[in-house]
Amino acid sequence: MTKKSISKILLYFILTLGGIIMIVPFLWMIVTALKTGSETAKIPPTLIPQNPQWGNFIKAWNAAPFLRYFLNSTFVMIVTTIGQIITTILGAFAFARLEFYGKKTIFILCMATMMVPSEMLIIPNFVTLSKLGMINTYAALIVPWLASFFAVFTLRQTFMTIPDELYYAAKIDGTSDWYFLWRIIVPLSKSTIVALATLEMIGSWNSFMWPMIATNSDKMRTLPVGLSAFTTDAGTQYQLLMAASTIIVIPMIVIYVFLQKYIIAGVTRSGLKG
Amino acid sequence: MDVKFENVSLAYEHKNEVLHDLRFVIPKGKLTCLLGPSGCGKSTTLNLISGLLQPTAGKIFFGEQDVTKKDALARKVGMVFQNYALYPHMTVLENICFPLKMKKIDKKKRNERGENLARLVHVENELTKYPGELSGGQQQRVAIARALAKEPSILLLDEPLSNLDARLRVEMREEIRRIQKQTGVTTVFVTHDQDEAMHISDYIMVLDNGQIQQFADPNTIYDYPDNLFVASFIGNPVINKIPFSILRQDFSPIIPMTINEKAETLLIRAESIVPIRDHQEHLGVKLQGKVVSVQRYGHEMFVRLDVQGQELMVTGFKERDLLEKQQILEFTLRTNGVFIANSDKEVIWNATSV
Repeated sequence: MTKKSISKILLYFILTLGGIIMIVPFLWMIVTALKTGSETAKIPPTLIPQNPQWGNFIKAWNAAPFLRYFLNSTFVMIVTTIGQIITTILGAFAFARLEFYGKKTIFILCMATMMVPSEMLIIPNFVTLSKLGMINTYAALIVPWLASFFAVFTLRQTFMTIPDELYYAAKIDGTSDWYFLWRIIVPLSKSTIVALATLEMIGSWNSFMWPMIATNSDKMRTLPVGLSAFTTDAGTQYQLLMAASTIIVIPMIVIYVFLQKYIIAGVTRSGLKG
Repeated sequence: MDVKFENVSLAYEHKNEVLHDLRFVIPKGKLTCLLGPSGCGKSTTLNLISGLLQPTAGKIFFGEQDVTKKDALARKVGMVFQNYALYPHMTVLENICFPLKMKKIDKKKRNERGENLARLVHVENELTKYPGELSGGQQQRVAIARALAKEPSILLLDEPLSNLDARLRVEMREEIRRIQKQTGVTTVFVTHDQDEAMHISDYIMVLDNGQIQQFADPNTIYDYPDNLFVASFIGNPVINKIPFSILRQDFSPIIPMTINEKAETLLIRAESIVPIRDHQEHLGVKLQGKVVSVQRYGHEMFVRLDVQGQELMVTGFKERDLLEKQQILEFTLRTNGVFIANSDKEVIWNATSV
């Protein structure tokens, strides 16, 4: 056997291992979703459900107002993502390109907020929103996530790689800062913006703690909170929990597959030398 | 349009002055080079013309109009940058038409103009490509077309050829010359390459330390440098500089007493050191030096001579003028390319005056 084929085998082995690690939890979720209640507790666990319970999906969907949760999650995800991307683009442009009094100080202060653990913000945020009378509204689910300094910082770094000359050229050609930002900088930073939007969509879709605290009625609940319906004092109905989880995960997989293609297509073409 | 600077100074943060009291007129319809070593203020001067920078003192005129307070857009300048600064996500045609789009000229008209400009700079077959798919030279052509699209009052080029390889650089400088002649647009070209400046310009402004050293046409700059800096910055190989005292005796008969007293440095261009039998006019001096080395590069002969402890670079000798294993070489000097500078580094004597 040649050296080359050994390294190839090794490579495939590592990749396969990585693939298995990624895929097993998914498979386990789907397998569990198809089991009966008693089969989920069997030791040793069965790898293939003895009698696939396709009805679990319907049962899970009907166990709680999941359609409402689904619409809530979708609405919140779309609004927070769009809102956050807009504030991020504006903030990143200001820090990357504009000159204003106190720019450095403000930037450092914002950086400092990234060091505050998010758990610490839950109580202050809750107090603030309840004083504003916003608890148990969409505003409670959306407003706290409309700005993310992590996103601003990431995008600022991308904006800063765009050479000054392009800015000067655009100025000479007659663009305003506003036009330059939306028609030149943003298209050139497409891949970073899409990546940030993807992260925010996944984060919003999966967020549990905040929606749990900020809402108190079924009308406002989101999907991850809804999943807790399967955990009662009498124990957890794993087969239904997994069936519901499977349904919830599907939109994320679709988004990911779609945007992944987009990210690759969006890799910026270079038009600058030097 | 001609560009006039009246006592223009620029200081950053009101601390160190970058440009001191510049006064000049860049003539209309000509190609003028701003030439100097890096940090001399040439790009800064260009940015003052463009309006991307504002002077701390003084006034700038375009023709009769005072544009000191106007920005780049109002001055209607066209600019080409060293790294081309094309918009990577737009096609060649969109790039060229971009300034027209900003002027809200309708699509049909601007595309027509864009195509004409593309023909002028020879990129008419690349209109639908993106900048990333073009070679450096083609990108530069597109950048020039874009700068010309809005019919600029002045075309500014900031080291436009520095990113190209040597052969392309020569080709593109001829192209820039042709485009400038064809359009008649007043052009200001920044470079640190004296050879480029000599080949392309109608006028050269030599800058150093934020001050104009000399502003004249290329041949005047070469033949009549005002000072030691200009004499040594222009020309390749670099002009020979030796203390005048070494050859004072040889020069005394041919220069006036007043010059002799103040003479500090003798400057001799490498090609002005020639065999005594050379048929061109030469100075009545007969000198000799020891051959240190002889090197031939293609059609060029480089001879290093030791003249009383000073090394001189000589290119005025042909292979046939050099006898084999010759140790001592006799030579004379031509009447052009020999200068004397005083202790203030000003040229006070030029051999052409003999």
